[in-house]
Amino acid sequence: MPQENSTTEYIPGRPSSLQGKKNAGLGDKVFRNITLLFSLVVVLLIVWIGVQLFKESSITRHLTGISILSSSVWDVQHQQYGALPFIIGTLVTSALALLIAVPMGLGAALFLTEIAPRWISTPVSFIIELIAAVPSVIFGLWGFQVVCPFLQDHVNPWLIAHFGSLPIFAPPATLTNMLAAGLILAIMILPFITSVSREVIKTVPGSQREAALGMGATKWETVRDVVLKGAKSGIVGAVMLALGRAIGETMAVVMVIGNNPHIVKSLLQPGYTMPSLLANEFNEAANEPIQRSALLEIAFILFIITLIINASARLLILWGNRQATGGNSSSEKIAAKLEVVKKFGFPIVIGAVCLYQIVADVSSKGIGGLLGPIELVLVLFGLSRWMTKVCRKDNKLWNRWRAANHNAMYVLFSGFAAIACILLFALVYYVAIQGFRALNPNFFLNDGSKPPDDPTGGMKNGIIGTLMLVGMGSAVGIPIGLMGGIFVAEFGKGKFGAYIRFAADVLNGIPSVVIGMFAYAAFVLPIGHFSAAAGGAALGIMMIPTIMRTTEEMLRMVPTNLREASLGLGATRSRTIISIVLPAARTGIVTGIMLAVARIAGETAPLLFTAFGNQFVSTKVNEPVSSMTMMIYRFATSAYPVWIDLAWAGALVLLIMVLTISIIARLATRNRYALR
Amino acid sequence: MSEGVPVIRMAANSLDFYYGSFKALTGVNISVPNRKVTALIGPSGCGKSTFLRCLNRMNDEIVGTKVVGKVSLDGDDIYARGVSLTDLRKRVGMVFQRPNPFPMSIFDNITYGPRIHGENKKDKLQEIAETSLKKAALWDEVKDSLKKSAQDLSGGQQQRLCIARVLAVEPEVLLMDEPCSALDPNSTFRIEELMSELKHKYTIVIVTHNMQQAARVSEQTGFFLKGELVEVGETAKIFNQPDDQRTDDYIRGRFG
Ligand SMILES: Nc1ncnc2c1ncn2[C@@H]1O[C@H](COP(=O)(O)OP(=O)(O)OP(=O)(O)O)[C@@H](O)[C@H]1O
Ligand SMILES: [Mg+2]
Repeated sequence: MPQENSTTEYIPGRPSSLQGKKNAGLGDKVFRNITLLFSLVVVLLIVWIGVQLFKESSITRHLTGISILSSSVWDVQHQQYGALPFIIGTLVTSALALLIAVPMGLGAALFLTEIAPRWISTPVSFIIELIAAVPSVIFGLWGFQVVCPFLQDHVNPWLIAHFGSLPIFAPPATLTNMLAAGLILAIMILPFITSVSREVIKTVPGSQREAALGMGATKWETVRDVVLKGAKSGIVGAVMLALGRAIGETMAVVMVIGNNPHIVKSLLQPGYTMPSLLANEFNEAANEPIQRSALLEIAFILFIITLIINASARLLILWGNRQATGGNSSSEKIAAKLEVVKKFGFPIVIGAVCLYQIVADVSSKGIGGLLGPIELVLVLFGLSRWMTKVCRKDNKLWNRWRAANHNAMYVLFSGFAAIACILLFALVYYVAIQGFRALNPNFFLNDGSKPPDDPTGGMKNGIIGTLMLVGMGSAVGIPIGLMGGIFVAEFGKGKFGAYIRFAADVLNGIPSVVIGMFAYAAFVLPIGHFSAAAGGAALGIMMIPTIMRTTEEMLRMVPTNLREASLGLGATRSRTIISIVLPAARTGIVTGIMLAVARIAGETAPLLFTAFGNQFVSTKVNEPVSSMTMMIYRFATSAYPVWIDLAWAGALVLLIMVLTISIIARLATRNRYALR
Repeated sequence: MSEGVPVIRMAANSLDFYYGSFKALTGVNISVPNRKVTALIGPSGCGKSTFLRCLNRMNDEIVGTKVVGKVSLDGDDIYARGVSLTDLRKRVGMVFQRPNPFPMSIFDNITYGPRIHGENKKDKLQEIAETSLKKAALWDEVKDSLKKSAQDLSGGQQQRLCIARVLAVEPEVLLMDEPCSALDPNSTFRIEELMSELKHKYTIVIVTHNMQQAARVSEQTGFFLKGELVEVGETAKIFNQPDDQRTDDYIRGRFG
């Protein structure tokens, strides 16, 4: 690595004949230690979040003990707090989301990297990255207003007709349900999975693709055997990170899942997740010490779960990078075990389910039941196995069969990419159509205190609140993130730097709803009232790790010879960083900051527990304020058309704000690369 | 086929090649004799790799490239419509400049080609692995660790593995692009030895920067300069009394 050269050339114990002033290195040391302190904030925050949530939830822990994890009764009246329905609901919706989003995202990523010509892949990748920045409350609004009714009319009846005998698709279906939640979550993490997989796939060296192609492999065979194999651990890591996101996601779920605190077997029934419980019950719990403590304990459980998932995802990615350079016997053992599961486990389970469905089809519809979708898929599958076997015998046939497989996979991947684009386009389209219809000058001039039959209401209070909250968050997050980033990039080459980097990644993966509950416990409870300041603090905490990591990356991209030129002229290390390295990395760092700002501007969940909301315009730091996101959430879930329109208008304005920031930020770095 | 008369295996006729609007090859004419080693030499950037990659249409993988002219294998135009790339590359195998083993075990690397080409019997694959590794003079070093990751081998071993991997699909022509440039002298020597073994069965085209290597291993040598094939002929002639002044200058190290 080029950076390492600069360290060794900078720190050597030079001969004493050249010794300068006694305190020559002092400035550098002070600089280093100041940045070190800022970087330690991320470690401190993780510990603090854990401790604070644990401490504030002691009441329920004494009351219910460990049985909160195993009891399925959540009855606030009778002080029964069992979190099982929420844990299960969280896991089921997240698993469903991954089941849908991983194949589609991976297929879309393969389409973008391996199939699509430049003029398609460049803009589409750009758009998909942009969509990843769309606030989750907008996904929730769209899901609730558009997707749920669509599912209700077109998908649920079809599922019941063909798969109704399986318990997971048992009727009756409700408008908001687990399936809708899983689907919306899937659409939400789809851009994330696509862009991360794309990055990972691009790291597989072209020489390996050439090796396979040079031996006469088809492109699909190359992708299957070389590209996917090489990118495997990176992709698994990306999937785990996406899982962390899905588990902690609040707004996109709370509006579409139905919020039913009972365990249900059917996906077509309403359920509940841990984050949506927090968002939903917080208002009534705020003044009930026991219920409040129960919610804080849920937040604590969520914290632990996501901590484990994110830490293992990061370790897996690190481990995968190491494994790529050299084999590892323990990984081979794990692979061998997985092979057994793949060979026997899956076929048995899937076979049993198929058999069950076929029996049910036949017994309910007679022989005609054999024309259902499951039977069709099974026949196609069997046919393909049989074809493989037959074609293998003859060289010519075999080549035709391989070419056919190649074409089929290409069509499939292109289809996935197309579906992903259509879904994401549908979201933007609906927000634009509905938003423009509902938008009028009152939106910017009036606040949201108007009654539901008065169409002159607006979001002035939310707009001002959002600006205020983002401003305060930036005041906290930018300096800490920047200084911490300087430390890990410039001084964090050893193990210690790696730990800090790891901590930053873990903090980045903690759901915003958990950070919100923490900010509530740490800043609202002791003071006794909600405030803009607490909301700003929560947003600031969320910014720190993002800014820290992008700052680090950008600093590392500054070429070594630039540093060496400065050091070679006798500049100190800190001088070099401040006057040469930072300016050289400026555009990239500003981009990182803008992306972080765009992200927190769209946050809802942490604000519900801290800034809380306010019907009127307020600019006082120690009083509750509203935000556009909270207003969208509350108006969207109301029963009044006027308010729902207001939510659409808010969504449009917020979307334009967030996308504008992201587009400017990304175009800025784009030009920078082009200049190089 | 009568003794001493070389049969032409591959041939290029007035071949032009473009990367976008950049013309990388101009009017290349060359015949590749059967079961002989043809060496391609020339200064960096003169188009040797480009030409080599035209012979198995590896350049098709780069967007925006264009081929004009004809390349034939046993008289058939490889750029004709309907030519199967997978078949062509099976017959015209390639060894790259840097060893590029797949991130799989040694065994899986070697048997990859046969498996995609339809072989799935365990014992047959085992047999193929053994014979190819033996041909590539690697068998003795790895026979006890076939399950080991191929990426744990040394650079020289990896390159011999890549050769064995190509041999496993039984190509007729073997293209080698500076196969020794990333290797130490000892591994280089072993690969040269290997080439003189292999030429009894295969037709080999090798790109090299090492003049002695070209002289040692090849029967025919072609000299490229700025996208043109300046001269091609018997290796001894090219090195001792070339027809073209530019070839002479290059051989004697006067430029390039
Ligand atoms: N993918 C590509 N896109 C555009 N131009 C290319 C590409 N690959 C090679 N070239 C250009 O084509 C010319 C010939 O390149 P080529 O790689 O064939 O040279 P070479 O003789 O193999 O050189 P070397 O001995 O350094 O390997 C060079 O000018 C190079 O810049
Ligand atoms: Mg070359």
